[in-house]
Amino acid sequence: MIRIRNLDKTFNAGSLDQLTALKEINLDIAEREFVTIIGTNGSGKSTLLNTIAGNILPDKGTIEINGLDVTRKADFQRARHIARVFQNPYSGTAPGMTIAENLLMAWFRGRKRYPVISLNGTLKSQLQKQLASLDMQLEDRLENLMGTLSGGQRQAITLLMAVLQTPKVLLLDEHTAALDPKTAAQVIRLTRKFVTGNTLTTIMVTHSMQHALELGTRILMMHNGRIIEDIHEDEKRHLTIEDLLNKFDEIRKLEKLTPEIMVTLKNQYR
Amino acid sequence: MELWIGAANLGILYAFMAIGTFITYKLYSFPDITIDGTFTTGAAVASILIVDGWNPIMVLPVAFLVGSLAGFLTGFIHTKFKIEGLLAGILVMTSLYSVNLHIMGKSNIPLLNSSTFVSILSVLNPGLHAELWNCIFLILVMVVFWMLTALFLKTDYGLTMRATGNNPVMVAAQGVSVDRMKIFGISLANGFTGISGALVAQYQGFSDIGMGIGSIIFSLASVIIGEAILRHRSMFIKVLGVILGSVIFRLAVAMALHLGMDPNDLKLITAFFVLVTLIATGSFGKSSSGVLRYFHGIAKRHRKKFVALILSILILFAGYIFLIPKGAGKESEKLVKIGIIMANNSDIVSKTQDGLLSELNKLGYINGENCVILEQNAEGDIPTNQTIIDHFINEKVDIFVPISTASTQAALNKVKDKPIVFATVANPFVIGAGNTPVDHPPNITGVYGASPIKDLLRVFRQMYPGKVRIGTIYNPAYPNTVSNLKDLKKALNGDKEIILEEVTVAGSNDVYQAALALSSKKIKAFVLINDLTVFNSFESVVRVSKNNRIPIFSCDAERLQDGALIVYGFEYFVSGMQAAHLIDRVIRGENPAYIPFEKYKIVTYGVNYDVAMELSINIPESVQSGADASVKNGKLTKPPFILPADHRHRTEKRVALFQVNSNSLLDQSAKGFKEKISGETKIKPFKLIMDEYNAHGDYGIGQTIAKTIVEKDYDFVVTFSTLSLQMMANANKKIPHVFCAVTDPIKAGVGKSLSDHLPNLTGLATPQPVEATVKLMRGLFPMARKIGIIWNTGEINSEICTIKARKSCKVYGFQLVERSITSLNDLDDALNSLVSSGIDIFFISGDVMISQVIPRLAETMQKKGIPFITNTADDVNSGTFLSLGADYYEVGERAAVIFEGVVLGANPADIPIELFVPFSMGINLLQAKKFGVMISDTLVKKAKFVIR
Repeated sequence: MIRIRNLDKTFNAGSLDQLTALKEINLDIAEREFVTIIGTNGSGKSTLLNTIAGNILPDKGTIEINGLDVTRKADFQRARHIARVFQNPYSGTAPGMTIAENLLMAWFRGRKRYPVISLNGTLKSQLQKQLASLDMQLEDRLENLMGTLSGGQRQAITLLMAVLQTPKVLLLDEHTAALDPKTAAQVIRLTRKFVTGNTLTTIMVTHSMQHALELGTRILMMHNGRIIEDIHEDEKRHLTIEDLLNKFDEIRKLEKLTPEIMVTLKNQYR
Repeated sequence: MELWIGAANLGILYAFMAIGTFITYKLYSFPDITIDGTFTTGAAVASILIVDGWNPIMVLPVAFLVGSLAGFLTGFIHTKFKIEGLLAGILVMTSLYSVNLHIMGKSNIPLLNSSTFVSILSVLNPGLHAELWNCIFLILVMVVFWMLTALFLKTDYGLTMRATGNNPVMVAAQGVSVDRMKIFGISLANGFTGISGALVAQYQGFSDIGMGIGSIIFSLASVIIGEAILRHRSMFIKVLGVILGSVIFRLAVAMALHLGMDPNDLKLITAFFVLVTLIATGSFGKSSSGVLRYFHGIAKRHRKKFVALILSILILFAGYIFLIPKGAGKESEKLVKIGIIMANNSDIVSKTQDGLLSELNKLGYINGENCVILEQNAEGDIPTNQTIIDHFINEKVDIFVPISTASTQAALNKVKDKPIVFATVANPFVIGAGNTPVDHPPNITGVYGASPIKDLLRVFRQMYPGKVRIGTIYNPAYPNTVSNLKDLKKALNGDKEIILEEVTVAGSNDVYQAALALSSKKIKAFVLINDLTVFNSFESVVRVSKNNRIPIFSCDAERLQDGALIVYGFEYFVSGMQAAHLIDRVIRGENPAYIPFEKYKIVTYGVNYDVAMELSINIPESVQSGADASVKNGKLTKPPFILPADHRHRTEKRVALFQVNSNSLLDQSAKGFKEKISGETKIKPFKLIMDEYNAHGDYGIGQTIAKTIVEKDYDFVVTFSTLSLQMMANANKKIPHVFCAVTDPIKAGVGKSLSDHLPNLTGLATPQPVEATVKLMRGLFPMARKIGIIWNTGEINSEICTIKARKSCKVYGFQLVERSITSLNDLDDALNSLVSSGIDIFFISGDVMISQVIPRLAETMQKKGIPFITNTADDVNSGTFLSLGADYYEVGERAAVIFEGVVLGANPADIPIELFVPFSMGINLLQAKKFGVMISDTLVKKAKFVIR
């Protein structure tokens, strides 16, 4: 489904702030795989997600989705295949428009929009049914402004919008990081439900090792712009958080990281 | 009524643009300043096509497309090159200026005789009032447009546009190109603006390069008003709010004018209003400023109150306009109170008072019945005048009538908001009541006249030729007396054989001694100027006169019976009569600001034969036959006072003077006009009420003024400048209209030829004498080859002059090197490039913008040693070498002559437009010497300004 070859990306090349975000990334993701990506801050995991989404264009290398080379395509051109949920729960919805209008935007994801009025009663009742599936008592608030909802409610709707028209690839960029634990759990529950229900190809970036272990079929560990570990389903099943931390420990030895950084890392992934 | 409907119509026409701004500003938070240019572009495209014969409705889609194209450019620059939206808008707006000029080919296209939507509508009019008919049509069109726009914003595409403004990250994730949506929205908004421009051009009857300036602020104001009065989530209501906002904004402009506010202040108020509303509605974005947050907080908490405030203001406006019957204030039960203040008990004052009261009576004012007349006398005490006036203010007096200078001065200081009609003041200008009879404080008018001292001296000289000594007595405390003394000395200036002895007094008690002192100086006669102190104890002078056989020559006609030998003076009784008529005019609603001061109308030249006998003086035959009043054997013979017949049977004529903008030339012509009209003219019998209107360069306000003038149904209109002519000619098809200060009325669209023009107007064409100037250049500089010229492409006048210069240069063998600019910022570059191209002469003609910097240009040219020649005579005072132009004061005067004819009943249709260029030249001989140019004496003699 996704085929990435020799992907390089350097920010602010040639300046003092030069930062190598991706280096020689080669990655194949099969259809219906659910990949979680973990890594230290600045390891390149969000950059990888953004290059797949098209927000960031790589310096080198190719990206294919479903056999189609999209390397040079803009984000909105890839949206036909790719749906996204952002870390910021407010990024995925328009606050000044009603829930119904927001859902309509997603209803037409990747399709041409015409000056006709599609938001009629039939469509509304369909959307209402979809809202009900969130189990958040939002189905009667179709005409409410999005801005009146909480962050968790909006993130749940963003998730719903992402799968409203079944995408080929679903990208989740630390989409629970900004939510409180209870709402986060709710959104994770919905994620599991939508991903397994629709059997989507999914890539999820997360800071939570627990989520990385609980969800998905494959774990990628990134560090300094490289994929340093690629753990497939069989191995992943037996993996513990301790094992993952040990993997980071190995990097430490390799890169002579100080113990202080280890402490930060451990805290971060607890 | 026409004023309000006209304003509403303008509001609807501007609403297309406002809806565009709603899209860019409210949906995208993108303040798109491009529309300042696009508005004109729409007008330009429409005008050029209409002149070309296109159907005025068919031009609208074209205006829309061209407008959209401009918007597309802004959007493209903004999105593709990541240039800040405001900056992108400014870039396109600036370049549109040139584009618009190219489209139009000149800076102004008249549509007066072309088919416009207005003219089409008027053909279909079933008989309704024209503006009302337009209004009905425009409302219908706007309702359709409103529905379509609101529906469009509810479609999938419109929804996507709104979402793009609301959250661009989200729409991109949903597969929408944010850039494309932005470009589309901005294009659409500018397309709407183009339509607005096309419609306004048709409605006002011309398009002009400057008509779009300020559109963004007016548009924002409309959007904001709309949002404030109609807050609702429905797109229909939101768009309706914008339309209403635009209409309300235009009504507010009309209101301000109706209330007599200075249109200049309106801009400040608009900007302030927009600012306050932005703060109150929180549209200023996420400002971190604590102050703004504070105000925003207040406004948010009181949003309902805020909306209620705006609504109540609107209701008050509406109530004022529609509910209060016209003239209700005048019909009140309250009687008009006239307060007469007299400085003293002198004859001059009491005669004036008598004349005033008797004439008021004749005019139908009866004390206690239909008016209240209060009279108080300061009895010669100057501070008491103030007290009387304070009292009158307390008594709520409506008209203050001070008699004599001292009272008038007191009234001038105290009374600022009520009319003052003074009588019997020798020189109102020395006490600060203005500069000329027409240029005076707005609340004051009256009757005045300096004593005819010259005439008195002439009579004196007939009787006493040769070397003589004369004496005069005066009280220097009165400013009027001092001014009279100056006149006396001036009159004596040419006569070296008269020696003047003066004695000053401080009060009436000093007069006898003063007279004695003079008599001891062997004077031949007392020549008495008007001085209340002296006249109050005139008997003292008479005693000395009789005892010493020294005759009295007096400037006061009343002194004839009292013992003066000769009087030559005004009749103060008549002064009172004249004042009564002025009071009548003011009570009838005339604005004192526009009533020129009147001079005394009747003079008395009298001889007292009894005194002559007593003093053994022979009265020469010439004096006897010249005099019209006499005292013989104690009997006074005087012709009766009859005011010129017109005075009592005036017909009221209301005249509107209209100027869209001000500059020294236009103001000069207006001045020339007004002074000529207020002087001795054939139309004195008519009671002219002149109202002056000036839009100070604002087209929208100009429009509304033109409508106001039509609505107020003036009898005549006089316009100054081309733009004023065009606006007025478009708004008014029936009121006789005289124009002047227009370079080329044919190009301005008011006629096919000088004799074949619009039937209700006529006037003067005053082109700059470009050819004569170029010819003169050839005469003065036989070897010169290159003439450099800089001109502003935005001024039609400047363009006409440049075209003429091109032709004339060919004729006289010059090469014309042109540099065109659009703003003064480009001037220095243009100047440098001209100078370095080796020009021999530098020429500026007919350019209003560049005329502002003549002194600077002159300085540069003097440094470079290049003769600087212009087409405005008094430029020579700013340092040019030679300036040959039209005398605009004379133009104004000439317009007044034509105006006279029209007032007397001539049909403007029958009066051909007159080509009138009163040459006026200024020349700098110092520079001529430097350039080695010989200036002939005849040329110098022709010049109005010569610098030696």
